[in-house]
Amino acid sequence: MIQVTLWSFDKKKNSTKVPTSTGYNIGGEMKENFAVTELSITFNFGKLNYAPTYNYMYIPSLRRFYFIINWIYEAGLWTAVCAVDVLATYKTEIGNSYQYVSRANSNYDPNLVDTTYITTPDGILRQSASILPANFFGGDIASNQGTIVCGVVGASSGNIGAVTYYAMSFSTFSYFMSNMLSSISWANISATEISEELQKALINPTQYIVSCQWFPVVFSSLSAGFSTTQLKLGWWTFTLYGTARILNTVGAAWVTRTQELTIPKHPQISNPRCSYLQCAPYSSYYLKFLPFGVFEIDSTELYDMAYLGLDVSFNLMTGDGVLHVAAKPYTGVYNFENAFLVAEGKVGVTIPVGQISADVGNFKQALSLGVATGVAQLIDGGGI
Amino acid sequence: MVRAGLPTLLGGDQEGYVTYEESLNEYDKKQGNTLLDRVVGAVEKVLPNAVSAAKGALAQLSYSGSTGNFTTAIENITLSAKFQRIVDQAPNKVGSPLYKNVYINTLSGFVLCEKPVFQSSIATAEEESAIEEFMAKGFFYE
Repeated sequence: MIQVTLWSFDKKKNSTKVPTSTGYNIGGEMKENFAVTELSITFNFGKLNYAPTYNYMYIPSLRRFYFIINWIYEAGLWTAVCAVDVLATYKTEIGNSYQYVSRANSNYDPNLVDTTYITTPDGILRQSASILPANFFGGDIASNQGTIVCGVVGASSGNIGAVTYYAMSFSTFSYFMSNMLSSISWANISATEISEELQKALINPTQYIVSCQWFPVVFSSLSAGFSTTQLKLGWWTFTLYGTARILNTVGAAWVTRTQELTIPKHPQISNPRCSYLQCAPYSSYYLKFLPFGVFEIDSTELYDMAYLGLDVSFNLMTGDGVLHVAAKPYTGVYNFENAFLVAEGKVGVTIPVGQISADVGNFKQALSLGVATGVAQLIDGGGI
Repeated sequence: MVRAGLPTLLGGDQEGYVTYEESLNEYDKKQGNTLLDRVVGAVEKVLPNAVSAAKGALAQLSYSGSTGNFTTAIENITLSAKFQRIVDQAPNKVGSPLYKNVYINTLSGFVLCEKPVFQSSIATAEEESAIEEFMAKGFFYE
């Protein structure tokens, strides 16, 4: 006779769960030969119990839990066919073991990609965050805002070489051009000396304007350089309708604009296990910022980031700009030295003004280099 | 003027160089040309090369594609995102990635181990193997 405890117990086969209730204690008969992992015990329940209600057993003398995998009735006795439950039997030893756990329910790293779950092809979702260019730069082309920067050859204390760069509003520029081209009286040449028609034929004022570009920034927002109401054109001086700013140094010509976008996030990352969904292939990002281009952004750069900082610095003399993109988990000042994306582009838009067909400064530089190269070639080749 | 300026520009006065004046004097003796002839001839040769170089620079500017345009002012600055949803999750049945060395009794619920090793002084080898197989395939510690 061997004493056992029986239970009607609901548990998974791959669980360490053990019964917490008292159970039904009863004695049974074992066959003489048995294996500790698989055995059979015969019980005489009499008329008190219906044997198959028990499905779990503990045998104290063997110190093991068993699943009752079958009941066999024969000659008024019930025989339980049992298999050892190793997980319940060695629960304590299993708990004390130190293992490399790849997956768990109670503890997890949400940053690790979980490939268990496939993507649903019909579950693609698109979101975007935008800034109006007028809000970023400050100028609106639709309302003729923006700033015109003219490089004008003429005497001025703010010269960069022979050229003075004037920044002015659209309306000031329009007035200046209209005033310059509608009458030649500004030349202060007496019509008795040279007729007005001949003056117009001889003097082409646009030849002194070596560059003219429009920028999408409001003129009133510029503070660098110094203010003037006069524009020196060649030998002449124009009084402007409004004020202009002379960009007397290269540094004064740099303008910076910074804004931030809220980064759209995967709709399922609200699940604390799913931070990894912020990365590809679950999340992909594109930034469209003209004139710099359209860029695919490495989603790992935006991991756990909430805001995308955009910083554009551009030069009012040349029109060249550079874009820096960085991300932060919270709003505030960005360190664009650590930008993960840097791109160049032309922010200034060339405005045709008579003579202008190309960057004269570059042409002059190339020409002088060409002359030097040509002379060197002649000297080296013994041409002279 | 020309003869005085060019050698300095070209480094002709440096040691080891034949100066421009020396070169011209030698050339004068051999050819018998006047100074004006030589200068005009030199400029005629130099200018086409120089203008060609300058035009080359302009051509590069034209094709660089960096010319600004008004799209800057009308195209929104946009960060577009595309998300792919995943199927329903069942972490209580399959767990979530952990990849750490831990004591099992610090966990609860589903556990999956990498190359588990289980040893006990009271378990048989068959039982140990059975437990390792459960650990490798996933089991519930509860």
